[in-house]
Amino acid sequence: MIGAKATARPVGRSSSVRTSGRMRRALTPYWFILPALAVLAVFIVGPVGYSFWLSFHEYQWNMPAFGTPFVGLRNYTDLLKDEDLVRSIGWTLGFVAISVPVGLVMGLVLSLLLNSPLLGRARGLLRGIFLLPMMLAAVVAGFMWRMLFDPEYGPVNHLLSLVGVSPVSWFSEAMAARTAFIVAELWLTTPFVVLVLLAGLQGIPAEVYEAARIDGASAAQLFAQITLPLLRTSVAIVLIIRTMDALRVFDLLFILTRGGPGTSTTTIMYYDYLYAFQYYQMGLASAFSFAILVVIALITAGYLAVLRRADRD
Amino acid sequence: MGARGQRIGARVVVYGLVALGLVWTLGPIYWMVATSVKNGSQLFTWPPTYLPTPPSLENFNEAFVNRPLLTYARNSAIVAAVSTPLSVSIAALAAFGFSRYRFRGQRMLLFLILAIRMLPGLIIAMPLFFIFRRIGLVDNLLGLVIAYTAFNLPFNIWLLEAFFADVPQELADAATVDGASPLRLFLSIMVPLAAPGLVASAILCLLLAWNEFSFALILTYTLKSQTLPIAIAGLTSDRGTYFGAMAAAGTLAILPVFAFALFVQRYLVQGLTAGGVKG
Repeated sequence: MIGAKATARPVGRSSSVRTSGRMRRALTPYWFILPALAVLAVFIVGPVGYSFWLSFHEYQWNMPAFGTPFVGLRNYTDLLKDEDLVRSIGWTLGFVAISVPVGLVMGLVLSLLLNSPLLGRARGLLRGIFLLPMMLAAVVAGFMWRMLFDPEYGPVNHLLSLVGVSPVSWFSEAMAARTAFIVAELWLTTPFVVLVLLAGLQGIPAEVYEAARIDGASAAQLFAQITLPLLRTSVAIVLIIRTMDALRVFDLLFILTRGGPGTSTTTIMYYDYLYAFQYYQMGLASAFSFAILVVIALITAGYLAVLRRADRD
Repeated sequence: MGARGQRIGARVVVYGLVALGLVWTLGPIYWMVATSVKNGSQLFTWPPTYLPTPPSLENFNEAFVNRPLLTYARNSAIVAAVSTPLSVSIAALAAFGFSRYRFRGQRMLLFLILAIRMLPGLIIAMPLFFIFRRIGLVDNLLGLVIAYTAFNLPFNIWLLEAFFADVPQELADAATVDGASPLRLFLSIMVPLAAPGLVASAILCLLLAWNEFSFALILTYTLKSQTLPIAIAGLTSDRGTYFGAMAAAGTLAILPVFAFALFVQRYLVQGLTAGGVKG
């Protein structure tokens, strides 16, 4: 329909038939991308722009009479003064620093395993099973782990008691709650790592290994000198996307710990949500959203650089 | 010993690790499904009941008869079923434009779309709430449909762009020489040839909409439009009392996902890989 419109569109004052044909052709791609751009502009870019505007205003939205007075950069400077916020940034970074590398190692082990010819025909089925968690809602996963870590009736404490560990109050001690959260997050996100690394592994031609084997390379040498270097791009992609995902984690946290006990597991996104919907400070929340957005844009640029390099190789 | 012994050793290690991996992956899912069929007393025992016999349906009764969980599930299904075809078709048009033409501003637009894809849903949902509030789209299924259609677009565009780019240029050229308009080319050549990509992106859209939490949390607040994930989250605040009903709701929530995983795994893996690896 859009294409038809494009061809039917009058081309203004251009006199020669050839020029008008070229102009029509030049416009064609824009007609195809127009609907998508319109939707994105109205429902994504618009709201984000509104949020940017709000970040320079005070908006206590449970008190409409107060309006939205302009406050300049005050929201941004207030963010830095909020000690809880600074703490939550610290914890979020710590969480990323643990979860991303541990997930990478787990994903590497699992993907090497799933790529092993020793599994024979079971490989396809096992792949399907190992990828299951990434298809589940984070909310459901959070609920699963809440039951598993339940201090009174959960199997985790029961299994620990079998090896002589006394019961842990998983959701009322900071370190325990953080551990539980990281475990649940690893469960939910490692399948993505497996997926990307497995695709990378399958892209390595079998001949490369055969040639090295004929040259007498050991399994360890094969791994260190062929597999790892050739997985470089996949690993970079995993690290970047996982960092981004870990920075914006929210759903899982909402169910599992609600940021508690106290604020010990409150991540940046959860804090942003609290600003807007607990404290009704939409101006502050918007300023924080923007700070997060800048960080994410930088990581995205890094991601693109990695993809470009991969394309060139 | 020798090579044979080494092979057996490798086999033991591989099988052992696979068994561990299976327990790690399936254990939590098993626990929820098992919990959903426990009766009132099996839910709260020490040691915990690992194998509920006989299975009981009382939690399902509690969740779906005494509580309106089916209404939440219906809301989820409607939003997923309406937003998916919208998002996939709008994205397919755009992906076609991006993959088959070179035009001014193309790189910048693609970067912008990728950047949008990286945005946390919450950062969009919060200002969207204030806009929707003014035009009556808050707590409204239409509002959620719009939000999911828009939010899933960038992902779909990137995914489909990769699939369209794989269609040989000669086919497109041949059709153009035969006098096909760009729209004809799109509908009769590209869409059929990139069908696996369209299926993959539709499946991912359905999953994302079915599982989505941030937008639904902020944009909905009554049974009129709340979705299943919100219902499950709502039951958590009740301090463990409703573990049984929640497990039943959670089991319902993962059933369609498992059906997908079984029947359309090939498309799903293809789509997720293309979406994740190619950008």
